[in-house]
Amino acid sequence: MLIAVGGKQPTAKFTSKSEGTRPFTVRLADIPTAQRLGALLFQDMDIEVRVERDPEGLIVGGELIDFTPLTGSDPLVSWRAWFKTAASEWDSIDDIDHELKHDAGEETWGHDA
Amino acid sequence: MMPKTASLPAMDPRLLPRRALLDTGVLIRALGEHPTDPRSADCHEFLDAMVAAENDILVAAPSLAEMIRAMTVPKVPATDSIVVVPFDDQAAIVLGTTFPIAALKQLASTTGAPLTYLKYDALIAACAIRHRAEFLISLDGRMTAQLPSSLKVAPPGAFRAKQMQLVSVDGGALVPAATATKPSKK
Repeated sequence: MLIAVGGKQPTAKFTSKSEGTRPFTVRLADIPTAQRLGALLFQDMDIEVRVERDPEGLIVGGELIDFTPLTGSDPLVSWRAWFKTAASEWDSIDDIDHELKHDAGEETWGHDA
Repeated sequence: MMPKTASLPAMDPRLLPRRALLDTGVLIRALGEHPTDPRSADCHEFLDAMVAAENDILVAAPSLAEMIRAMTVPKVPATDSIVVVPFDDQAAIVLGTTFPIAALKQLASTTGAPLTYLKYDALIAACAIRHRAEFLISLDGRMTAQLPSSLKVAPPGAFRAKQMQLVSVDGGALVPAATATKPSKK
């Protein structure tokens, strides 16, 4: 979620459940980007960021590369429509687990002789 | 059409995980149509219940790669409750430390599963750990021994209500509510 945006050298502050409870701040490319983000304050969004982390793995800086506002559409409808276009071949496969193993190449690791 | 599950109890919203990553086998069944697959109904209903409860559903990026079977693929939906999580540098550290290659080879040797298949499983489990999933939803428990205690593994059917609601028919035997028919006239 975007929780703040601003500054002369613009930055944006986000929270992400993947990063725990600690918010993190990243640089923005320019003020027009900050203005577009400003309209999305306190909304969840998909972001692509390049981050810098400290030795504990906490984000201490970085830059925003891209962002996508979330669609308000029903997630089940959107995802099942996506699956139908991208992956519906699976619907004609009887043994899904065997097919996943087959795709993986059936590489086995036998017992040592 | 999905298999009829009238005789099974519904998913219990109180049991559902707040944040769960679904493995590829579960996703394929939950998003597609597999009427002859006996486990598809669990997967379908679990996903539906998680979305209805507004809980977090994570999809590991490597699972997308396993699922895609088309040359032209539309942009992956950006939705609030079903979220794709990347295999990034943090996930790579989790993979290398939690699932070292020696452990995967040992697992392949003991289970007979293809090593490459287990590597995919490990990539997906590493995404679940890195992105703080509470549960890895999977139809098999191959990886369970390797996982930290912070990540539990369960099949989607584990979140059905523990007891079916029973009703009395004709003042006699108790039968599951979903399968009860109208009492006959006497």
